[in-house]
Amino acid sequence: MNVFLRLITYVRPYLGRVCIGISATLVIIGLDAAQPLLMREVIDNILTPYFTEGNYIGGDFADTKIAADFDRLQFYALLLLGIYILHTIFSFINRYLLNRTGQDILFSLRVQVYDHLQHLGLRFYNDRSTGELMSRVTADVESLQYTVTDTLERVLVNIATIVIYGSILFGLSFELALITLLPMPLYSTLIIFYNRTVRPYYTMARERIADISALLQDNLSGIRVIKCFAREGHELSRFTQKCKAFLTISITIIKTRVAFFPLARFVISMGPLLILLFGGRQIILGDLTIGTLFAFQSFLWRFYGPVESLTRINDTIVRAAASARRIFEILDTQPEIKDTPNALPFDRLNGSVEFQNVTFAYEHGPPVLQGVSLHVQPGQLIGLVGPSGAGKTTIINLICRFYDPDSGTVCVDGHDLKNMQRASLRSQIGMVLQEPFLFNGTIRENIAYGKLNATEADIINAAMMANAHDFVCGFPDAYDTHIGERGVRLSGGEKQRISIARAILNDPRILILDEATSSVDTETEMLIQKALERLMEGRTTFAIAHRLSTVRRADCLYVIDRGKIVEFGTHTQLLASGGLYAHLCDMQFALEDT
Amino acid sequence: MDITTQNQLIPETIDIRQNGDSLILSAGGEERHIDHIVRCFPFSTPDQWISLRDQEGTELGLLPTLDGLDTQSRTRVEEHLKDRYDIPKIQTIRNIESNKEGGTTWDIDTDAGPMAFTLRGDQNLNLNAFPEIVFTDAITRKRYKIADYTKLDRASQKIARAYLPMSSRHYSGRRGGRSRR
Repeated sequence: MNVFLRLITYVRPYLGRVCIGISATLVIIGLDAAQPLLMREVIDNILTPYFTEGNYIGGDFADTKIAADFDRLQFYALLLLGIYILHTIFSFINRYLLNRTGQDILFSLRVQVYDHLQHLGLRFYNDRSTGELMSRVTADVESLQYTVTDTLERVLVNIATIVIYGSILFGLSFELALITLLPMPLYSTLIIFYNRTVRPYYTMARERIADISALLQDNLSGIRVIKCFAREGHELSRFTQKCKAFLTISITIIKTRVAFFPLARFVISMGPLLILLFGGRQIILGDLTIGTLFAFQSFLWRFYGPVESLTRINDTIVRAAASARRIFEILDTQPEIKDTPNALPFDRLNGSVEFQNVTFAYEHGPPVLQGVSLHVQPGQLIGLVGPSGAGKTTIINLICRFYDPDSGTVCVDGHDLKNMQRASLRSQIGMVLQEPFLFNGTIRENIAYGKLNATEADIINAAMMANAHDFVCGFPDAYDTHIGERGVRLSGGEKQRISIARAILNDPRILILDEATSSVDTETEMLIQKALERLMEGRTTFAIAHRLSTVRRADCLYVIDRGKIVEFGTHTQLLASGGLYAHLCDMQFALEDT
Repeated sequence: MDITTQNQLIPETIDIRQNGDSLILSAGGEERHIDHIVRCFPFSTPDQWISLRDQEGTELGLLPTLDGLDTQSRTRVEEHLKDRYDIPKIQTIRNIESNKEGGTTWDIDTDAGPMAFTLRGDQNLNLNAFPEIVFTDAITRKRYKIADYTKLDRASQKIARAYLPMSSRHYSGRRGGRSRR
């Protein structure tokens, strides 16, 4: 479907409102048309009889005719006043309804895009920058403001006007009306050519704006690194380059527009010229009256006016289509992981996890997991160890069903994840990551993120178990403290303990710890470790750790190398076997000794 | 493990008394010095979950509510909380100006006289208990509050409106904001 037509479908829920708005516009057009007619009435029938050849010929004001004319004058003045009042009222109705509808459409479009974004898989995000996506949800949606409702109104009103004045023109002279239409094929060709030329430029302009947003988002997030490396000059140069790219495409658009519109006007001007030529010829031959030609010329511009207006609307449509296309591109992207229609919800999980001969690759890359099989009993602590890039995080991604395996099956509580509802699985998985992500809000809101109806007692309880309560109470606003974007006002250890409290409150059945204690000092690590031990009680836990001392007490350690499980067993068993794990341990302990 | 129940005090079974400059907590046959008393949720539920702490910041106990405390103990706790949390109440806003640091400087009249503070964004504002608004000076961290924004004079409201990130929720739901207390 044409992008603009698809955009118009968003009007459907507000059709009644839009119809009233457009009807109000038509009333305004009628009121506008009535004003000169009333003025003509006043001039021709009331005022003109008092003058002949420019001289006043009126009489005594006591004359009954003069008094009657005064009354009529007052009547017409009141009528005009009534028209002005109606004009104001209908203008208000028209502006309010259409602007309100425009805003409502933007609102629903923005929410729809955001909702859709939330359901797209990680693959989608791997290929796109945050800033670029933000630009689509904000700037692209914003650029559609007024487009849908205003354009729809202007198109309908202009078409109605063209039909009315076109009929009058054909009524006055069929032949001249046909001549009026002569420039139209060339005019239409120009519009088509213009559309084809300018459309990619508008798309490029939106892309350049997205590039600017992406760079801005990246640089503002990393402003500390920029300052630390004193790269302000370098970043300014990069930003200027992006802005220049936008400037260049904007200038190209301006050049195209300024070349097109005067040319279109020139082509349209051929109409009156041809009418003058052929109409004049007909008058000389006695086939047409001067009055008719005069009337025809007057109506001609009223006919061409809306035609020209439609051309400008076309430009608006092309511009809006570029934004709309980028928005629909998101909406048309299907999530690669979807619940099947018969997917079943998980009840409360026991927490057994099984991989059966699982192979997986990201996009078109080489396999990152090959023939992986593992079986984990409920409540076990599982350590995933191995060199960077071995496939540990991929195993976690498959348990959370962020991806489906290319072959083999991943089962939780004996159910193949492909047959189960994702939300019921993920709501029972808790994660504590190396870099915990906290939202810009209060400590209370962050802890309660997984359980929005948590009571104060729940929140305090979770914070106590995470060893966070004491430091939280040390802040002047305690649990009501705003922690800033990504928890910027907290230390790494504090953020980690808040994220543990959040996980505790969510009460997950499967817990994932991804290097949860790797970036904190020893004392904080001890506090976090104690908090984690409380959190792990009674839950199936997968712990990814490079510091092998943190997973020593795991019920089973799986050693992953190049996408394969190369050995598994307890710490003692693996040390005794003298394989990769023993080698990694030797290296690490040697490093710690130095 | 439910740690809250370990730290939680039962108001009916404790006694808090003044001993010179400090407060003494008597609970379960033990006596401990209270150094300071903290509201866990000073904006959202200021009268619940009150933490009693010693000089090292260790929690001596957590009061889920002040209800149930004997009158004298309750008075002691409330006086202590008043000293700690009483903040100047804004009566009028005279002027707000953007400053060079990208924030705003507010000239105000409070119940403690004319004052000024600096804000650097929404993080220095707390609208959780709207129509009460609490401001935290971005430089000194001192706090100021408007007890009820809707009762502020019109001129002050007009000056403040452009700088407060309030939505219709704050107006339509203001009773809700109060009821959270």
